[in-house]
Parts: sequence; structure tokens; C-alpha cells
Amino acid sequence: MFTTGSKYFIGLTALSVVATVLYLFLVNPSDLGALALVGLITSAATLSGVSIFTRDSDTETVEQAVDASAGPASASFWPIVVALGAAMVLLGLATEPVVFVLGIAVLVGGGVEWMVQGWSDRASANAAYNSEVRAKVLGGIEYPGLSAVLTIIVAFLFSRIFLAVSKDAATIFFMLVAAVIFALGFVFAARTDLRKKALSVVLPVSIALLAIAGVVSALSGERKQLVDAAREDHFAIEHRECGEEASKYYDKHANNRVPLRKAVIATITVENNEVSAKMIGLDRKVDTITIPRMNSTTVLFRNLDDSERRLVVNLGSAKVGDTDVVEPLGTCTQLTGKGQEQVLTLTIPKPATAEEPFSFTVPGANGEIKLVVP
Amino acid sequence: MTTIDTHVGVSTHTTGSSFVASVGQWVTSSDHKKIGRLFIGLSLLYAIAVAVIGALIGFERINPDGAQFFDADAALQLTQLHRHALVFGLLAPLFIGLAIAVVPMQVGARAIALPRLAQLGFWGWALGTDLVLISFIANGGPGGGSSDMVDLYLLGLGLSLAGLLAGAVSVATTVLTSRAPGMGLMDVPAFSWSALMGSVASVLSLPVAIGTVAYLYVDHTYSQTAFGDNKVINTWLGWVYAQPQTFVLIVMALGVLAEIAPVTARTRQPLRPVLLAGIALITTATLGAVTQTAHVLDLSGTTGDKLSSTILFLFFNGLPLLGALVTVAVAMLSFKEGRPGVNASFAFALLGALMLLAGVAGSFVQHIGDAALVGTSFGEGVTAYVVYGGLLAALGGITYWAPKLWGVVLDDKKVLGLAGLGFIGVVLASLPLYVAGFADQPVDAVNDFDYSGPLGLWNVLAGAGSAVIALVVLAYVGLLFAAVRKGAGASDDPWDAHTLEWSIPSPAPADNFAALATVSSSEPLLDVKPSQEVPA
Amino acid sequence: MDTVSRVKSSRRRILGTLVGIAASATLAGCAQNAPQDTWEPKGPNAEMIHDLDNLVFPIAYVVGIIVLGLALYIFWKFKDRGQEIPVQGHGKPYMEITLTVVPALILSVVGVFTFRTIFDLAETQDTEIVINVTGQQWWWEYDYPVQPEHGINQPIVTSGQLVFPAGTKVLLRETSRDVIHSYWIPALNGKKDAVPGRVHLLRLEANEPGLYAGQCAEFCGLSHANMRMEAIALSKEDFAKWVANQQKAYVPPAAGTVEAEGEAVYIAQCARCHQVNGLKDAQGKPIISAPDEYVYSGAAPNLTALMTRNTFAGAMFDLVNEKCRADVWGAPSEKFGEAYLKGVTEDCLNQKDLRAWLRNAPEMKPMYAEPNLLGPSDGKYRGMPYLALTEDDIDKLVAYLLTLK
Repeated sequence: MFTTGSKYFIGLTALSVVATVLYLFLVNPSDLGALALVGLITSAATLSGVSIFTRDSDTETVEQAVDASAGPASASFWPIVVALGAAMVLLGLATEPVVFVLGIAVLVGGGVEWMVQGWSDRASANAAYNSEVRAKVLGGIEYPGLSAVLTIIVAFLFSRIFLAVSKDAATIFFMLVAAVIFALGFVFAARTDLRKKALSVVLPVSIALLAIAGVVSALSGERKQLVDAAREDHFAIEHRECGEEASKYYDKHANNRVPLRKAVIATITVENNEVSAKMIGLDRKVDTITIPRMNSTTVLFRNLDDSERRLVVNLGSAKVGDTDVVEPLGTCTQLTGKGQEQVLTLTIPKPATAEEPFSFTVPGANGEIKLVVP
Repeated sequence: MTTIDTHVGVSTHTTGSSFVASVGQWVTSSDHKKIGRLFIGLSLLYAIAVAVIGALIGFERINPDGAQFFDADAALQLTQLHRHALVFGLLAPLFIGLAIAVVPMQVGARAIALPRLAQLGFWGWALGTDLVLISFIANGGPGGGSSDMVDLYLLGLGLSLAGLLAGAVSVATTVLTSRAPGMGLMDVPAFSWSALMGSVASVLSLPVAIGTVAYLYVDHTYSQTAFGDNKVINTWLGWVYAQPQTFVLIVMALGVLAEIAPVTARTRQPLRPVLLAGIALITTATLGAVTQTAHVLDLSGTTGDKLSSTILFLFFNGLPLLGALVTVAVAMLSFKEGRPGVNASFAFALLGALMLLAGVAGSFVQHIGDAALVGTSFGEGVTAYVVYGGLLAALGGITYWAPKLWGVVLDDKKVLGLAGLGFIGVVLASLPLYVAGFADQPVDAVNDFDYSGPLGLWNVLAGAGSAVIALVVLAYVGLLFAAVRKGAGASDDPWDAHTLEWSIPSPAPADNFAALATVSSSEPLLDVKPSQEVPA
Repeated sequence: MDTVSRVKSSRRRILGTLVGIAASATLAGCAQNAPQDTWEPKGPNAEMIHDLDNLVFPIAYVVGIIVLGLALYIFWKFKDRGQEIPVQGHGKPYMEITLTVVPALILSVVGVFTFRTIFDLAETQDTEIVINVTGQQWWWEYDYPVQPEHGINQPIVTSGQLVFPAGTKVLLRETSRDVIHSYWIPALNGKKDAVPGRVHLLRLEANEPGLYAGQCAEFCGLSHANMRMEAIALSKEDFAKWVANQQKAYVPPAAGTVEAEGEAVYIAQCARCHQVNGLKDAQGKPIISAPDEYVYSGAAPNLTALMTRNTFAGAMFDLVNEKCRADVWGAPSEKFGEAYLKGVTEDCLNQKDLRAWLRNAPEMKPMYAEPNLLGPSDGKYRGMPYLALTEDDIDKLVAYLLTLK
């Protein structure tokens, strides 16, 4: 009646019951251990039932022993990928959210691949056919997915190089790289006989070079300007720098829109440390610029002095959210070198108050242009 | 009539393939022997590392103020890392790995059940353990200074436990469902039975451990109100590294002895049902483990108090001890029935089992309240006996099954020497801590205690014992490497053994059996070679 | 009826229709009340265009008659009468060259004058006054930047009627807040599109004081046809008076009057979109309207000196009644300024249309002002919505609006 396995599980169940009873009477019914023991009773009892029901999975003939005769599964890459995904998820939980998200992606990707492989392995007795079935289902996702990942890696490595070398060097370097790629592309297109052999050399070599350059760049850190900018807190959201620059490198919070250079309503110039303005259609300097309310309007800033300047538009001040903190409103252009121009596009919904009139200023230069929004 | 297929299969050796291809094969293989060997290899590496740490802790205790090896802040972290690596870097994966490698062959299956789950189990355990190590290196773990890295310790521990759980599920499922035709559960070889028992006990207790990790992580990350801060994590998690949870993991160690003893004695196992029951009885350690409490015998208070304390103590600590005693005793009965003899694998297994008994018995004593040993280094001694005893038994098992796993037979004399040295090492690493426990040396601590006088000597001995163990494992791994390099030389059945795995070639082919054997007894090989059997 | 007579009869009918269309087109040219007539320039810019027309059109007439005559002759001469098909040759190079060179020469002559006129019209160096013109669905806003030489010391914002000094070179800076519109006062200059995000310049100059009508010339949505404009040229003295009046300080109605009650209704119902400069709330704080929160284009007409204008709602409706309007339109040039500057008195007010507008604006002018039609504009109105004002409120509002002079 009772098979060996079921006897063991029934015994374990009985002992769990005894242990639980001991806990209920001798220790504390609300103890965590009592709870776990109740779980143990449930698990052991379930296993007892399964064992009795399946008669310990005993088989007498080779034909019945399906599980024992099942051959080894095909090699699979996905268990390690899933384990790696799980490790990344956990590492991400404790460190960077981006690792967590990547881990989820690896976990989901590996899990799907695993499931499809498991399904295709059982599709038929023919291993070649099974692998074809698997390729049919997943090939359409694997190749684009893999190339997307590769593209991201390539772009990331390139970006590390960009961030590490100076602006000028980056420009020259990437012009050269582009030229080389173009030339190679031309050669491969023209000489079809070369293609396969040469590609099998050029591609791995260039990928290896890129990887080395990218890793070296990443390890050597970003270029000094960016490091300084980070140190000076330029990347923080609170950093609204529209005054004279503490650093000469970078300012993230300048107005970054790309406006219409051809439709400027006014041009503000700084020359000999003096700010002056002209409006479209009038060939004389003005000290007031009037722009329509609630309409996107473009103002051009031109620096004719040696030092770098920026145009700042002062739009009064306002409370931040529900707090009592009052913060100046307005925006500014990026720093502009000699003879260079920058444009600002403004959409101002309401007129200024008498106490806080709007104006354009250039930190470090004299003069102010009044801004009127009727 | 028993029919046994003794076909000659293709060797699993990969020759001439490039390094990358070979790495790829190991990474993707779902062959249970490869997965098992990965488990075994990495566990032995951890064994060396953990023994070195043990030695450092021992020597540091001579004069903690001198801070020879590490500063005072690191002491708590290092002792916790030591505990973790002993149990989940060494003991648990070593036996799960051995079971994954051997059990399918023993029960006559062509492959392990749920092979990819076993694969996932190894990588999950390996990567989880890596995360734990990273967390310790980056100032995490219990008592760590970096909050994120304390989180990482818990998460890594969770992942490695989940990996071990996956391996255990795979082993248990194999024994339960993939046995050769005619092999009832009563007929499975002793080691496979112990693997089933150990795996089932793990499957029942590891989820509780993972649950503990989960609630500790959530609390530690979001509030630190319910379970305290980083220093006290192991107050809640300590049971995972302590007895009786470790007993769950040594069931297979006694299984190794039970497997090797009758083969060495060249006899059928007498009182086989009792042996199986004894092994099963050890798994009652699960009951104590899941309660997450040490059940200490407290003989103060009223008669009722005394009675209830005694019942709990005997139930939770006595039953596993009884199981272990029965198992060792019945296994040794073989020698009464058969002819006495000794070889390296048996020596390792027997010495390991004796050490385990010392540990289990020590745990029993430790839980007697009047002995006042709770919270002393006596507990460390118990863990050392249990883990290093398990290590010796596992080395016996590896020596025994090396022909099937690597196709080699290790030099018996050299291994026998290592067994003797290992025994000395274990005794040195453990017994002095028992003694120091009686002198109230605190557990898992280095500082704030006066180690002057004879205590210094005991700790030096303990440290030296750990160092010896490290050397033994190193030497053993070296021997194995040398043998494998030298090449195959093992016959299919070098031990004249009883079970199915010796009917196939050495090393075992990828699919184990070309055709399934049908068996009708628990020693199928003996059935077909009765001439070699010693009359009972 | 046989086939031949049926064909003849249908031909006669077609011919009759054509003659009818030609006759009415010709007779339409004799209309007297045609304020948007392109052939009656009233300023130098329009005259330049007119002069160019006078040159180009006769040439075009001559060319057109020759081409049409030749075509008709060829249709008749080579009609299919069953004759043999002529030899199909390659062609006659001399003829082809002639037929290419002659039109090119004609076009070159026309082109020279046309380009010259275009550049003359684009001249802005001698601008005397600048006015910003902003189009939106469906009205025009005029704002006058500060220009002390014209007495403009603070910005003036108005709508519906563009007021400027006659005999002065006016530069309009056109733009739009929503879609493309086109500003066109035919008597003063050609069309110029008002494009969102761009500033286009248009010169205007009127020889004499007077009223010049116009019409948005780029389809801009539902009420495009109702988007009208009137350009008011005043003598320089009259313009100075107008400017002074626009800038005078706001005088709140005396407490307790119906106008004061009207002001309260205005503040409650209208001030969130319509600005009245100088209007203050109970705490004495200036009320700044916020059409950017309610209206798709982000603007609503400034009503500071509403009663100095003759029209409202994008010049679609007269703010003065017929008789008073006739007085302004009919006034001789020298008297025009005086008539216009009277503004809207209580007797002259077009009560009917103004009240109807206040009662239910969307009914008067199609504007997508139905709440269920606001999806494409993010829930914002494109014109004045229905405000559910009571008749009592409307009485008070009208009384108050009459004070905005």
C-alpha cells in the first residue's frame, strides 16, 4: 500500500505535526518557527500525496521508464544568461538602477530564449529540424536585437572616446575615421573578390581597436573641461548659471532651442563692453524691445568683444512651487566667443510688473535693454 | 534475471578543440557530470580560501590588539565571511555538486532530470557567491560600513541559496522520477538515497532561508525598524549558517560512507532498511532548522518548564543525532559481515563521518543550557567539525567516483596519507575551539576578550589546523590534476562495486547508458558477478 | 427636334451664358461702393503696384489678344474637313527661335519693372513708425512699441482697427500666434503673409486721412471670411490726439453706479482673458489677464480703449450703429479725423450686435467655441466662448464698456 517514498514523506509530515504541536503548547503559537512548521506540514503532506499517487514513479520495463531513458538535453547558453540577468538585477538593486534595468532585459531575453529552445527541443526527434524551428521563431528577433545591442555598444565606446579627447581632436579623429570607413566601403564594393577575406580581418581588428580605445578612454576619464564642469556642479538641475561664468567650459542650462535665425525681431550687440540693440526694420539703435505677448519671438545676440559673453533675459521672479523660495526667472544663451552669434527664442505669456520690469543684460558688460511685453 | 548493458561509449574528452570552444562547452553544457564537476571544482577552491581565512582568524586571536592581519573593524565582517563561505561556499555546493555528478548514473538514468535547472543552479550559486564576495570586499556583509553593500550581501546570498535550491530540486527529481526500470526507492544506492534525503531537506529548508533574506533585505533597505541595522543581520540569519541547518547538508556525507563501506568490505549492506531509515532520520534536522531557533536545554524553573525544555531539546537536537549514529553504525556493520580492509576513499569517508559525529554530538552538548556554551566559540568548533568532516567525506566520494568523472584512479597511498593529514587538520581546527568554548571565548569575535594564557595556544592550534586543511585540499587538487593530465587509466569497475554506474565505461559517456538496464536488487552488479562476493 | 437643331440650340445656350458672365464681370468694375478695390490706390506703395499694373496689363492684353486670335484662326483654318494629313516635318528652327526670343524679351521688360517695384516696396530704411501686427484666429492685434517721437511712451495695444498717421511711412512687423494669416489692405499695399515664428515686414502709407478696408488673405480656419481689418489713417495732429487718448490713465467708475457694477461683472467674467490696462482688483493689485491659459493662440483683444474703435470681434461687427458709421465713412478727408476721434457714444453704440455677442458669441461667429470641439486645441478656445451671462449682467457690462474710451 505505502511505497518507500510515501512512507518517508508521511513520517516527515507526522513529525512536522508533532513539532508544530510542541510549538503550540511549549513555545509560542505566534512564533515565526510555528508558522514555518505549518508550511512544512503542508509541503510534506503534498509530497506524501504525490508519492502515493505516483507509486514512487516505480517502473518495471524499459518502455515505462520514460524519464530515465530521456537523453541529455542539448547544450544551452540560456541558463547562464538567466543567472547573469538575475545577478545583474540584484546588483542593480543595491547599486545603479541602470544595471537593474539591463538585468531585467537580460533576464527577459534569456528567459524567452530558454522557453523557445525548450519548446523547439521537443518539436520532433530530429535535432536539425528542431534547431531550424527555433531559428524560424527567434531569428527575426535575435538578429535585429543583437545588432541593436552591438550598435549600442559601438555608440557607447565611441562616446567614451568623444568625452575623453579634446573637442578639436575629436573632430579631426572622427573625420579621419569616417574617411577610412568610406574608403574601405568603396574598396569592398569595387573588389567583390576581396570582400570575404578582407572583411574577416578588418572587422574583428576594427572592433578590437574600438573596444581598446573605448575602454582606455573610459578608464582615463573624461576630458578636463567636463571633469571641471562636473566638479563645479554644472550638471545639477539646480545649477542655473546665467551670470558671469565661474567656469569657462560649459553651461548646461542655457536655452538650448534651435530658433529661426532668419526671423529675429531684434539684434543685441555687445561691443567695447557696451550693450546696444536694433530692431528689425529700423536702422537705428533702440533701448527698448517690444515683443508681442505669448508669441514665440527670436532675439539674436552678437558678441564683438574679445571676452566670452552671454545674453541674459531677466523675466522677474516667482515662487518655486508651494514654497516660499523666490527664484529669478529667465534664461540665457550659451557663452559666445568673439564675432559669434547666439539666438534666444522667448514666449512670454504675461507682461512685467512695475516692480520687476523685464530686461536684457550681458553679464560683464555695461548697459541694459528694456524688454516690453504689452 | 538481471540484465546489464555494459556497452562501451564514446569518451567525453574533448581533444584538440580550442580554448574558446572548450570554455563554451563548459558554459553551455547540460551534461550533469560537467555541471557537477563545476560545482565540485569551485567548492574546493572556496575550501582552500576558507581554510586560509580560518587560519588568519585563529592567529589573529592570539593578540588581537596587535592586529597582525586585519584591523578591528574588519573582524566581524571576516568572521561572518568565514561562516558564510564554510557553509554556502564549501559544504552545501560540494555535496549538491557530487550528487548532480553521480546520482543520475547510480539510478540508471541517461541524464539528470531538469538538466538546465541544474545548470542555472550552478551559475546562480556561483554568481550569487561572487556578489557576496564583492559585497564583503566593498565593505559590506554583516557589520559592513556601506549600506548598499550590506544590501548586496543579502541579495547575493539570496541568489546563491536559490542556485543551491535549483540544484537540489534537480537531484531530488532525478531520484524520484528517473530511476532505471525495476529500481524501487528501496533499491536505490545508499548515496543516491542520501542525496534524495538531503535534497528534499534542502528544498524544504532553503526557501525559509530565502524568505528570511527577503524580509531582511526589505527591512534593511527601506526602514531598518523591524530587524535592526547591519550589525545584527546575522541575529536573524544566523540559523542559516548554524546547526541544525548544517546537518541538512551533511546527510550526503554519511551517504558517501554508507556507499563506500560495503564495497570496501566486499559484502552486501546488512540491515539495509535500517540504514536508509537512519539516513532519513537525519533530515529531521529540517524541523529544527525551519524554526530558526536554537532549542537549548534549560533545566531551571518548574518541573513543567524542565519537561517542556527537555522535550523540545530532544526532539529537535536528539533525532538528527540518533539518525547520524544509526547511519554510521549500520554502515560499519558491513565490516562485521564482510572482510575488513581499507583504502583511501573509505578512509576519507570514515574519518569524515567520525568528525561529523563529533560535530553533531558537540551540537547536542552545546544546546544543553547548563554547559553555558551558547555564544561561545564552541559553536564555531561544531561548525568546523561539521563542515570539515563533510569536506573529508566529500573527498572520499570524489576519490571513489573519480574513475567515472575524470577517468582516473588516484594513487591510493598518497590519498591515504592526505586522509590522515586531513583528519589531524580537522581535529586541530575544531577541538581547540571546543576547549576555548569552555573558557568562554566568544563566538565570531576577535576583540574585546582576553586571549592570554592557554587560550592563545588553543587558538594557535585551531589556526594551524585550518592551515593544514588548506594544504590538504591544495595537495588533493594537485593530485587530481596530475592524474587527469597523465590521462585515463581507470578500468570500468576498479572497486569491484555494486551499483549501476560501474557498468558503464570510465569516464562515463555523455549519455551514461546507451540502453537502460533493468534491475531487481539494490546491488545489481553483484547479481551478475556472484563469484566475487564474500559469503555472508 | 432633329439633331442639328438640338446642337444649334445648345450652342446658343452656352454662348448666352458666356456673354452673361463677361458682361457682369465688366459691369462689376463700375461698382462705386467697393472699398477693397485694387485699382484705386490711396498710398505710395499701392501706387507703385498700380503703376506696374498699368505697364504690365496693356502688354498682357496685346499678347493675349494676339495669342487668342491666332489660336482661333488656326482652329478655323485647319478644321478637319476630310483633307489629307499634311507632311509631318521636324519643324522650322527660325520660327521656334523667334517664338522663344520674343516672349523672353517681353518678359524681361516686364521683369525689370517688376523687380524694381518689389525692391522699392521692400525698402524699410526710411521707416517713420513701427507697429507690430499679430494675427490669430480670427482677429488682428496691433501693438505700438514705445516711440517717443510719436508720443508713444508706453506700449499701446489695440485690435480691429489699425490707426496710423497719414503721409507717414509705417512699417508693420507681422507675425502670427497660431496658423498662417495674410495681411491685406488693397488700397495701401499688397498682401503679406503672417507666419508663426517669423517676422515679415510690410510698408503702409496713406496719402490722405481715411478708412481703408482689408481682409485676411490666407485661409486660416472656420472664420477666415470674418477676419477683417480696417486701417484708419489720421492726420498727424489727430494721430497725436489718438495716441494721447490711448495712454491716458484708467479711471474706475464711481462707486455705486451701474458702471461700477459692470466693472465687477467684467472682472469676474472677462478679465481672465481680456486686458484692461489700469484695472485693479479689490486689494488694489493690477489685474493681468491670462489668455495663455484659456485661449489656443494665447491672446485675446485688449479692451483698454474699446470705445475708440468702430468695430469689434475681429472687425466683423460694427461697434457703432449704421447712421454713425455712415458719418465716419462718408466724412470728407479733412473732417475724417474729427469724426473718427468722437469714438462710440451711447447714442452711436450698436447695442443690438454687442448685446447679442455678449449673450452668445459662438452663435455670432463660428469659432470652435463649443466645449466638445476643443480636443485638437488641448481644451482651449479659439474664440470667445458662451459665458451664460444674464440680461442684467449684460446691461451692466454694456454700461461699463461704454466707459472704456
